[in-house]
Amino acid sequence: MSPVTWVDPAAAPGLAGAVALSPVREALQRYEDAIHADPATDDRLLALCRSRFATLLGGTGHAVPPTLTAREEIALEFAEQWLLDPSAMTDEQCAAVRAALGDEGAAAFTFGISVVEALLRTELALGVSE
Amino acid sequence: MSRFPPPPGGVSFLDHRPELQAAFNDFYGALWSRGALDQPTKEVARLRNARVTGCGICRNLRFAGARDGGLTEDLVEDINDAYDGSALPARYKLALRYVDVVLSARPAEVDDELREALLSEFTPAEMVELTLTTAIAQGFSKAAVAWGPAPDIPLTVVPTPGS
Repeated sequence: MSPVTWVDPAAAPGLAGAVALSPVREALQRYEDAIHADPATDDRLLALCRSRFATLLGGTGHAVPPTLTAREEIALEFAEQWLLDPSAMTDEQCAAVRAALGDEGAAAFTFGISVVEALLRTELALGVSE
Repeated sequence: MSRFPPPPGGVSFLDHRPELQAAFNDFYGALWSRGALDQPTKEVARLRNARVTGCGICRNLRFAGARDGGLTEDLVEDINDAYDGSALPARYKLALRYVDVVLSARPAEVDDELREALLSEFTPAEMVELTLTTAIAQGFSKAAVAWGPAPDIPLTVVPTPGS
């Protein structure tokens, strides 16, 4: 059973139910839709990052598959550094992500992980994890 | 950002995906200008994030709507680690206590006393937006820092997104 949010127990469960309380819900949905529809977005990669972020932030993550591609390993390393301490990101980590994903892919990945982390933090803070 | 140049004709590396930049601007404009939470409180959250995350761009950027709403530079100066003992209004101090949890390594750890205080001050819709503003601003700051280093800019007042 999904926990109800402490912000409004009458809200529908889950992050969507909480966000529905705000008039910005449609704009947020358009932004999320744009990210997932973008041809430079890798949804599997974002799902891997979300799971890793959830584990690191004390939520419920899933085990990262043992068979990551080299490209995924590079991107996940960048994402972990992003989550834990972006100021310690190295030139090499940045160059590796650009080389692995291409510039369009790296830009889309940046949009993607920023939203993935933001929505995860929102979900955890509001207590609406499903 | 020095580690990720913009494409030809662009101003930021994010311009490699202009459609996503446009979608972000649409959402961020709605969040700031058509949301339920007042702009000064959102600005307090955004600036706290800027200082915690260490973004030299976000730290010195001011949104005009928040300034017009009463968030003076004297008040902004108090958005530091000693805010609890500062002259900031109680509403802003309360928001900052919550923002610090949202930005932390354990964002779920909002204790009962803080929850009760927040619910006595903010509506549910305002709470959702305070959380979203904090978390989205953190993402923007992290992008600047990770692909940076983000340069310190002079104090700059810009129109509120979406205004």
